[in-house]
Amino acid sequence: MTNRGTPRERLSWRAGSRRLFDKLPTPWLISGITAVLLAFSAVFGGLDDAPVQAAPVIEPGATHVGAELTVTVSEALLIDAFPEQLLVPEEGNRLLVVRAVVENTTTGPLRLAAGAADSLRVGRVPGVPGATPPYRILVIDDGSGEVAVQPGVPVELAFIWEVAGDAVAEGDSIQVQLLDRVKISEGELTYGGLYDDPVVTATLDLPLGDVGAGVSE
Amino acid sequence: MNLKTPRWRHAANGAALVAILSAAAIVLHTTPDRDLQQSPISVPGSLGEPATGRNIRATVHSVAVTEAVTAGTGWAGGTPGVWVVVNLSVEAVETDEMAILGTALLRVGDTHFSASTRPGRTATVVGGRLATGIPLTGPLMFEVPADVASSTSAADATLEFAISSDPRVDSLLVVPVDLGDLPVQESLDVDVPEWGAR
Repeated sequence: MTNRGTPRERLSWRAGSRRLFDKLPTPWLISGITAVLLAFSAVFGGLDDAPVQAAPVIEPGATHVGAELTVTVSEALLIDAFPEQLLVPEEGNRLLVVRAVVENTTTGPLRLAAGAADSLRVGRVPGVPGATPPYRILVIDDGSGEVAVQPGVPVELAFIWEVAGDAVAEGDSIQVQLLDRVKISEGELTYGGLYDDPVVTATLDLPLGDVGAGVSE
Repeated sequence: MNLKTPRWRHAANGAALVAILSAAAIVLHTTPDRDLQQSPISVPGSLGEPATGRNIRATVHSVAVTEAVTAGTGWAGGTPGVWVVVNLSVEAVETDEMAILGTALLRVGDTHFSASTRPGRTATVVGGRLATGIPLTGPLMFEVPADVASSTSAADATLEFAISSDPRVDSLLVVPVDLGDLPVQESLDVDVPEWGAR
């Protein structure tokens, strides 16, 4: 197909563009089509940031119905220590306690383990990063530290974090985040479900109280 | 040409294909799934009689429903529901190695409740280390909603015990109890677990 040596024959406009198209490398073609498609979708807002669905903010004392747990957060407060539960923070630190009534709406007991930030956590507390799991979870009725929430039996729990003594003070507003666990499947080798990262499904803002060394109730 | 396949051969091929597919479907739909392959081996028991599994033998002596319970340790936890208090003797059969009462469930209808750990390790037999041939006798407390005892499935409730917290492919003692038949007591005092049969 070479016509070297002969004078270059004059091509029609159509034949010239056809030859140019044939010389176009395929990757350029694919990139070009992609760019055209992206530009087309940009016209309709296809390249805009996806809207992030903010978790709804609920009132203190309002009941939040989650996938597994129905939670009613009543108050957040600072306390020096719970010596009867052998729960004494380091020198200079204090305990931040979030009180909540938790009801299990599944058909089996749910263990709420301290050290797992998958049911309730706090935000906007200096020195306590967002996903810090509670240091301890106690049943308020008897101070029991092993919490298995039985289905259909509401129980009032204290979720406890250790904070620096000067990090927060009475009257400060903190955020409480309520989370749902996302079940992936039943375990393949292990017994029980496998869970993905928990997601925040509601938040609430609470003013911190301070009960000093503690209250008797 | 005379090489044309006769019609009956086509029909026979079709029939054979349908037969193979049907057989495959039957195999597919009747093969035990993983839940069934790994399911616990149920050992039926009855109230007051010992039930013996691979490495666990248990006798449910009594079942009571009460609004308040006081453990032998002095623990008395409140609940918005009621307590189902079970008196149980449990022992290992073959070996005391890794022998703890890891599974102690009360199943009512679709719902199951685990024996409460709220009273503490020394107040009930849940999670207790078992000895071979020497029964550990003591209470189990189940925290259940107040309406469970009056629900329709309360008559068919079962107590389930196994040697590990993972009861798959091992003995699971299943003792039926009729919760609907039991009066709701106001309060009940129980003892701490002790070695020996009651």
